Amino acid sequence: MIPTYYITVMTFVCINILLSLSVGVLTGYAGQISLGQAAFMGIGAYTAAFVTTKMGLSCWLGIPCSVFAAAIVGFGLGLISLRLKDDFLAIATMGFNFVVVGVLLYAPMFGRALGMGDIPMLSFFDNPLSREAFLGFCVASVVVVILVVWWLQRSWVGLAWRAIREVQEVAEVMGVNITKYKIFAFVVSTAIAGFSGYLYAHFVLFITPYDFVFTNSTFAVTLAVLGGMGTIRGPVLGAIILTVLPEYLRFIQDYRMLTYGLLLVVILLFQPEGLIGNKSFLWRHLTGLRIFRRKPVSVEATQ
Amino acid sequence: MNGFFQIENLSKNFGGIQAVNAANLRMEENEILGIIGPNGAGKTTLFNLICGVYSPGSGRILFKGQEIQGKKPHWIAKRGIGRTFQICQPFKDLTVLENVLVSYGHSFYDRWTCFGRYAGRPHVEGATKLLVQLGLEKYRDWESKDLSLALQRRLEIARAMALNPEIILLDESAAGLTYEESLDLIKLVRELKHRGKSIILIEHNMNVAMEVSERLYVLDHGAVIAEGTPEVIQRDERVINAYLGSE
Repeated sequence: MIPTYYITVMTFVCINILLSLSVGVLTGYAGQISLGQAAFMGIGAYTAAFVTTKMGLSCWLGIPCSVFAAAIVGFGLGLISLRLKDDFLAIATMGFNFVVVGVLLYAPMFGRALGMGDIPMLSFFDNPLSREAFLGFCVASVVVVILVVWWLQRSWVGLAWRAIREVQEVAEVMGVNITKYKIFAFVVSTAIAGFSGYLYAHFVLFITPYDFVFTNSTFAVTLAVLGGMGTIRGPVLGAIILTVLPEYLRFIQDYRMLTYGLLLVVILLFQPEGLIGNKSFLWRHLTGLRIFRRKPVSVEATQ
Repeated sequence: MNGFFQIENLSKNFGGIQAVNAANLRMEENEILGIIGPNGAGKTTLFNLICGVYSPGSGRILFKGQEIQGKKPHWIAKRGIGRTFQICQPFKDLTVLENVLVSYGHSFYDRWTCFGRYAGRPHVEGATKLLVQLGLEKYRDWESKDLSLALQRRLEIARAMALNPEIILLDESAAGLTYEESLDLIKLVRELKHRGKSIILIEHNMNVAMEVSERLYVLDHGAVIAEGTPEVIQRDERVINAYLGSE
């Protein structure tokens, strides 16, 4: 029997992996900066809460609703992103995060600053899932999302995203419809963030707007940057480290944000590729070992 | 009557600057056309207008009888116009092969096929064939930023070729190349013509422009001031004045 404490930590690891992957897709692959991912997590979480507590629908119906709600707003932000780049896009997404939190704080239907409570635990034929079963569901969700992202990054979609990340004007002249692919990156990324919000809501069972503030968006970026952008393993490792490590560093709990900020600065200065990004010091040495050595993708494909 | 490719009274302003001024140009299929002119004559702007990077203020661009001015760059690329850039712009963190695959996949991006694997065998083989033709097969798994300038210029041509274009626009492809590399480029341009491509090239290197072009257009202050074979252009008073200035 695993102690509840470990189950809780592992569940948060799963939720943070999803949040981190959402940044990984948007920024790591498509090169679109977002400092508002927590807002999409919030949209997913509040949709899940609204569907179950206010509308009385099945908690499973919350999955498509949360994902769709976040994705549709992500679609709108994607449209805005067509006119914005780099720092300006970052500022716009940051502003978007403040707007979402503002709406949640002042809209009576979302419980204002008191948030939304009484969110039911996921249940199967009226039997609420145990914490262990919920963790199993979270792990399965992470596996599915990783598979989806893995599939996308090896498809023409992934290649188009990477071309847009490099030089979008050139990508367009090479036949890539950048409007479509930038918006699609936003939709996929925000759908994943929305799904992480769904899991969060059904795990903590009580949510407030303060769970989705801008600092949590920077946390999401830190997760992905720490592990290494442009990969799947990077955001996963980043989420594991930054969820587990604070548990061992509770004595500096009050300095959490300071620590994240410092960590982000140090990583960007000395290891901008992240801990296990494709060109990071650690990854180069790991892949230098025979057991980790990969064949180049093209050679493998032509054999 | 509409030809293979023609530009009619094309103009483009940037604020008070008339970058392209009522330019007219006509190209036949499988022709090598050179565009020359002093710095700031509007040559690259003309390319950007053809590719859809800019929308013209007025005028028409006709490709096989269809108006293409103001269309999106990806739409124009898919219709068969590929280009290179004055300053090499490879996708730096992508391998040479992946660079070519980006444009090789132009027909997959707008359908459900976009979810297919880009490194599938037929695509890799097709792109590799292009790399072989351009002498880049040795470097196909290199990151493109590690290539020399001459190889990056070749990669840009390979990338444009992967669109299977009918017209290739070469923007100062000889810039920064050594004499030997320029000769290789001339050979390559002739090979492209031999494969049935039509080529418009902007050149500052007069040797290359005169050697390879079948006809030349001379731009000055955005307007076409002369047109003709290299022999005619070399003797044209207006061209000499544009380059050297008049007394």
